[in-house]
Amino acid sequence: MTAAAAAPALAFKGVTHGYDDGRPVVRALDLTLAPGEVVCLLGPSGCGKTTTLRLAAGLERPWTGTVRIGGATVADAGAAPPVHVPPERRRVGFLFQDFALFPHLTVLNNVLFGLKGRPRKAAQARARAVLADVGMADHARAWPHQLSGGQQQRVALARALAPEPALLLLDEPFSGLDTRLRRTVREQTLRVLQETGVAALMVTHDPEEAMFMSDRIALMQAGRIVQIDSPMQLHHRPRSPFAVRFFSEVNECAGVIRNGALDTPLGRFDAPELADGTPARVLARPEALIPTLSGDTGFAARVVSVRPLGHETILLLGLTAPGRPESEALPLTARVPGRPRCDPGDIIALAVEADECFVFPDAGPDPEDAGGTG
Amino acid sequence: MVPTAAGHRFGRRAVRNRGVSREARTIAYRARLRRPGPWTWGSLLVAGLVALPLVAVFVMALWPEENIWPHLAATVLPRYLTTTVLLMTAVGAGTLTIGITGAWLVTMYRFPGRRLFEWALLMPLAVPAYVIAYVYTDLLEYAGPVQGAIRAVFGFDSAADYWFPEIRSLPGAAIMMTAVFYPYVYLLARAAFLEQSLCVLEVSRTLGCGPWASFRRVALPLARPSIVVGLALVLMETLNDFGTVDYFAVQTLTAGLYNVWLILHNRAGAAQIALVLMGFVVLLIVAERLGRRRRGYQATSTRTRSSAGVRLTGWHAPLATVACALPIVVGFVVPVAVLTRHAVVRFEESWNAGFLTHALSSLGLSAGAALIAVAIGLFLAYAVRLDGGRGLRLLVRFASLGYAIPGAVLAVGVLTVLAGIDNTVDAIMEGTFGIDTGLLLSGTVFALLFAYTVRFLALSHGTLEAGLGRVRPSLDMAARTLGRTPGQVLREVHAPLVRGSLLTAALLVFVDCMKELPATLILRPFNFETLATHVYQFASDELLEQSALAALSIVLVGLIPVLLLSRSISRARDWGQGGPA
Repeated sequence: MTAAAAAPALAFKGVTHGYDDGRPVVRALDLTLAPGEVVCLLGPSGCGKTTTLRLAAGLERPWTGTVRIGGATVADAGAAPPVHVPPERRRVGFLFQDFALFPHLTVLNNVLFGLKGRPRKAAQARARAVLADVGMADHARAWPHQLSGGQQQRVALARALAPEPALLLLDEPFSGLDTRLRRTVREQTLRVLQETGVAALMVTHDPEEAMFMSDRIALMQAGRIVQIDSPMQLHHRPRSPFAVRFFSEVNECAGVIRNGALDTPLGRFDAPELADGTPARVLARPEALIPTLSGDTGFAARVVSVRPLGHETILLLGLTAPGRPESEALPLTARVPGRPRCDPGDIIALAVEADECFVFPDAGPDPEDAGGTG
Repeated sequence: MVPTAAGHRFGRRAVRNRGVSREARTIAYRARLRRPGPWTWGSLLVAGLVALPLVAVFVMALWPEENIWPHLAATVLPRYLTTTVLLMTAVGAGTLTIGITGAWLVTMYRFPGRRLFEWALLMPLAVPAYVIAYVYTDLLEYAGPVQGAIRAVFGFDSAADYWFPEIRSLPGAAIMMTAVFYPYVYLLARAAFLEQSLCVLEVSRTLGCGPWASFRRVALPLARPSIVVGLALVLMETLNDFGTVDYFAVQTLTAGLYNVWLILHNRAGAAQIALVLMGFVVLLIVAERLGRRRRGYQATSTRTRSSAGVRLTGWHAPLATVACALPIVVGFVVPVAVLTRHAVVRFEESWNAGFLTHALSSLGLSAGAALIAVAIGLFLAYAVRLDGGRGLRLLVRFASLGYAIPGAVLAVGVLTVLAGIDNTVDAIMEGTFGIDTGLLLSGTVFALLFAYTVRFLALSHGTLEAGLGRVRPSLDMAARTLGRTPGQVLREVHAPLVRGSLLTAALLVFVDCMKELPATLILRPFNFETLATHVYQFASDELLEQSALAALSIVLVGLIPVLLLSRSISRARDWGQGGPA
């Protein structure tokens, strides 16, 4: 980082934290958010992403490490005495999964709650302005229970943004909404975030949501960030089998590296950086398998079942090697756009798109060991 | 990538080497040690203070100044124990029969008066056991109206001419207590029957069980954990009772404790009997906890019992009506009618300066205790919410054991603690300044407030804990990140949200303080009377008529929480049927 650059909106350094059972939930975490950047913490449940958010808010005290917000140290477990700025003095906004609107206050008073220190007039004006930003100006006098889920979410967003926080923390902010509403609310939220220019750290377990919302995605597993990259980079250059598996179902074939490549029933995949004799596996996304009705691709598969989803179709296939009985067929999943063009029992030819296939050395039984090369 | 590598190494070591995990645990431990703030320390202090009387009883019983234990064990203790066990067995059996029958009838069947009985079956809860004992003695003794009528009708001249059961006896005491304690079983059994899904009963019917077999083999076992909780409450109240057993000269442990304390003037002996009593309480608490733990298993389906149940026909319907009406008549209607009559007839004598003074004492004391108990209860419940540590949770649970401890035992503990403080202060003042401070705390209203708070803290704390439990934790966090300190969050968010619970808690404590007799008798200042002690005093002297107004006042005040309870039950039923509006 150059001296000229603005202080990061949020910086974790070597932060470890856990709960009463003594097991760390977040392990030696390093994470930096540039001003105005939107970063998603993505991972399965129990990977420590919500704990990370609570650490940033000051709702938990880290066992080790430091947390800085906008250049100011808000937590330092190593200092004597340990530094811990309580949540109320951190200038962070928090958007909760259940929105957490105060049921005994009107919409306007909910937003005013965070503007306590300001002169009355200025606070009123500010509250009305943020409510207008989220399109809820007309509901200022309503009670939370009178609002729909989407409206509650917008009020919660306005309330979190009203005190002009240095950082906004979002804990699965859309999971309380039904699928159709989620899309629109997500877009609105992103627009408001971009207009305000506030840095935001968001927790989600939905890969699509993370892809949509973030400048960078921090993929978490077992308390550690295993990869942090732009959405496209994460999708095209996954650094571990976990990073591939988390985004979709995958077809996997194991084998051993020979002459810098892996031979599998799905074909030969180059892996120049892996030594000969290394056990390895290829992970092929369902999009990688493309049925072609014409021409011989070298792979023929029998269609086991067809699951039309409308805009795309999931095909369950059985790939048979030449000369092998059908009972030993390799089960595969393919995802093709549009309506189904085949029926169960058909034999189809398959093309394999190598860009959507990734080779990793076989990690062995330890699921925590997520190291690998792309 | 450096961070990942570092995290990676950390994780691997933790997995492979248990030593590192222990190191992590030490870090966690230190982090927790650092965390306690003013809330945690404050609540530790308060909870410790509340737990002190119990500790004092233990200390005094186990390290007595003058050990009369061998003497007690050789003479009176076996009798006390036998009587107590007999009384508990009888009251337990009686309350189970009445409570479960009533709950099952009003939940499952339709018959004349059912909607009234649903809540009216709770009304005897408003009548203290000693009041009902005085009323029935008044009615059934030799000089009372019942025996008088029998003599007049049959032309008997004296008691030798006919047989009539003696009300002032062990069976009499058991019947009196059953009549006013059965609502605990009724309440919990009914809640359990309501929670049970109709499906399981219907399934049992389709599997070939008749209605009786379905009740016995499905509904009752499912409700058993709740019923055990209700029974434990009944037995705790039985152990707590002093007024009835004293009046009926039934020698239970509680009566014996008073005997040793007030007549033999042996504190250590009293503490030792108290310890035996606590042994019973511990057994009950264990049984109750086991019962509660299993309550989790009974959630069978979210579909609640929908309709009003099966309509009873023929002679079944009036039988059900009588079965439900009888306990209400015995436990509430008759006592209130008798008391009302006396109060009206003797109004001129009763409505005097004395009554007003006693009433004011009762009101003031109860209101004071309610305020203190609610403040402490809220403080503790909120501190546990903030801290969440296991240690504090345990201590707070111990501090709220007071409700299970018989009032007499508590009084011994409170007096010991306060006397200890008084003597220490006196010794210091005497030694340093030559001033004799004498008794500062014991024998004052402070002792009563302290005892009430310790005894009824569980009521306020439990109510407020449940109330706070309904406030989503995210509201706390939202308020914190919007710039509020924990204290401000309590004032601006929680207090308005749990206002209903605060009122309920205050009311419950208030009413129980109004009724409280055993501890008040021991701890009250000289010449200080509450309504309860006034009733006790007069009734012991066979002057129930003069104290009827006071007794009636206690019953009527006691009705308030019963009505509240019945309202919340009917609201729960409406929710079950129509869902929230």
